[in-house]
Amino acid sequence: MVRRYNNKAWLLIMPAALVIVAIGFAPLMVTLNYSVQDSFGAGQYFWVGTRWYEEMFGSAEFWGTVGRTVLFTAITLTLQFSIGIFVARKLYYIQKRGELFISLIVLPLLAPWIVVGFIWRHLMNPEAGLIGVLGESIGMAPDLNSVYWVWGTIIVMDVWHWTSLVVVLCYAGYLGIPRPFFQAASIDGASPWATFRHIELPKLRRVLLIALLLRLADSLMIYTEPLMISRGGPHVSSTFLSQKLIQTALQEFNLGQAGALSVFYIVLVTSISWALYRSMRLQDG
Amino acid sequence: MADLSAKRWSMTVLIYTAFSLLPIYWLIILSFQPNGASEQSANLWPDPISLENYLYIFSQDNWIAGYRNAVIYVAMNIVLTLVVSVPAAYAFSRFRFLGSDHAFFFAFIFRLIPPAIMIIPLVQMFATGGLMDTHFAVAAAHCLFTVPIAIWILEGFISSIPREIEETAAVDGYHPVMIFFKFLLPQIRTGIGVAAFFSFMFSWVELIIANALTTVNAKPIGVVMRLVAEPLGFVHIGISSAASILMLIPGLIFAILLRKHLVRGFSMGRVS
Repeated sequence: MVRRYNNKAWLLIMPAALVIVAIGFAPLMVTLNYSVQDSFGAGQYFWVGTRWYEEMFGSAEFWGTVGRTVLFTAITLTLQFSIGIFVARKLYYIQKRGELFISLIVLPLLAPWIVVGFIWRHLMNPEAGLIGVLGESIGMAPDLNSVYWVWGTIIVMDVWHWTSLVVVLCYAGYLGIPRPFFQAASIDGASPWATFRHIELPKLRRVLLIALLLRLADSLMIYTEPLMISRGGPHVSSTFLSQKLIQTALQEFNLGQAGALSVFYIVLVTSISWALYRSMRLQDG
Repeated sequence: MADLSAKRWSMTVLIYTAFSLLPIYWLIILSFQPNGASEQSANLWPDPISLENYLYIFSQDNWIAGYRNAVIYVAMNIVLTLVVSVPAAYAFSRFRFLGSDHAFFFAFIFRLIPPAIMIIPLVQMFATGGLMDTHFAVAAAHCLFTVPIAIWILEGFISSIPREIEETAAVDGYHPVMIFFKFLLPQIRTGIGVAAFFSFMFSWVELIIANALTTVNAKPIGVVMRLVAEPLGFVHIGISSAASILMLIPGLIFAILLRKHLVRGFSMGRVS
C-alpha cells in the first residue's frame, strides 16, 4: 500500500508516544544515572564513572548468571521452535477442526506466571504430584535439591508454557500460504522435506521472526517461574538475570550495581532485537 | 501429504494438546480436593470432592479484593492501551512521516525490556506523583508493554482495509473524525478485540511490576496468593489451586469469545 508523506501523522502518534516516553524513557534515564553514581544515602550522589561496570565485568558471579540465562534461553528456544513448528505443521496438514485445538492450546499462555511455577512445583512433588509419583514408581523420584532436576523441571515447564505461542503463530503463518504453492509442489512430486524447506519455511519467515523476537525477550527476562520452583537454587544454579537484578536492587539496595546490570541487560536485549528487526524489514523490502 | 481436503486426526496434535491441558487438569483436581488429600497422594479424580477451597476464598475479603483489583487495573490498561494505540496504528498504516521507520522500533524496545529493570524507577516516579498503590499506576506501567504490541496488531488490521473507503467518504464531505467512527471503527472491531486480548495476555499474567507498585488498596490476587504462599515456605495447595483456577477463568472467557479471530491476531493481523 502506498503511504503518503505527511508529518501531521505525528499528531496521531502523540498520545502513544507520550505514554511511552513518560512511563518508559524517564525511568530508563534514571537507571542510567544510577549506574554511574554512588550514594551516601539521603539523596547524596556522586559520580563514580565506570566503577560499577568494571566491578560487574570483573565478577565471575555475573558471568555465571549471564551464562545460565543464555544457556536456558538457547535450550528452551530450540525445543520450543522445533516442537512448535512440528505441531503447527501437523495441525495444518492433518488435524480436523484446527481452530478448536488452537483455543485449547493457547491456555498455557493465559496462566499467570505465578500459577505456572506453582503448578509445576506441585507436579514434581514425589509424594503427591502427578509426575513426582510416576517418577517415584519407576525409581526416579524428582528431587528439587538436585541441579539436574531443577533445570529439567524449569525447561519442561517453559516448553509447556511457551511452545503454544510458536504453534499458534506458525499455524497462522501456514494459513497465509496460498494453496497453489502446495499444489505446484505436489504436481512436481516434491518430497515433504523439500516442500517444507523451500516453500513453507520461506513463507513462515515473518511469523517465525515475530515469535523469535517475543520468545527471546521473554526468555531472557524469566523471573517468577524459576523462583517458584527452586528460589534460584540449589546454591545459585537456577538464578537468572532478572532474579539477580531484583536481588541487587531490592534486597541489597545496591542501586549502582543494579543500574549497571540493567544497562547491560538493555543493551543485550535491544541489540539482539535490532538485528532480528532489521532482517525482518529487509525481507519486507 | 499435500491433499489438504481429507483431514483426519493427528496423533502429534492430540498428544501435544493433552500435554498442554494436563497441568491445568491437575490444577482443577487440586482445587476441588481438601488440602490434606492433595498433600498425601496423587489422585486422578478429586477424592473426596469438596468446595472448601473456593468457599474459603469467597469468604475472605482480601482475596475478593485482590481479584477485583486485578480486574480493575487490567480493564483500565486495556482501555488506555486502545485509546492511544488506535490512532498511532492508523498513522503507521496510512502515512510516512519523519522517523516513521524508527519510531516503531523505539516503541517496541519497551515491550522487550525486562520488567525487573523498571521496578525501582517506576516506584520512585509513581511515589513522587502520589500514585503509588493505585490501579492507575499499574495500568499505566503495563501500557509500556501492551501499547507496542497493540499498535503492531492494529496496524496489520488497518492496512488490510482499502483506503478508498476513507477517501470516498472524505470526498462526500465527512469530517475525518466522523470517517474514523463511522467507517473505519466498525471494520477493525476484530482487530480491537485481538489487541485487547494481547493486552490482557500481558497485564493479567504480569506480577513483578504489579507487586512493586501496590501495597494494600490495589494488590492483585496473584500477589495475595504469593503472600499467603510465601511465609515459612508453606503453600496451601488447595487454596492456591482454587485461586489459580479463578485466575485462569477470565483468560478462558476471552479465548472462547475470540476463538475465530485468535489465529489472525497471532499473525499480527497479517494473514493474507
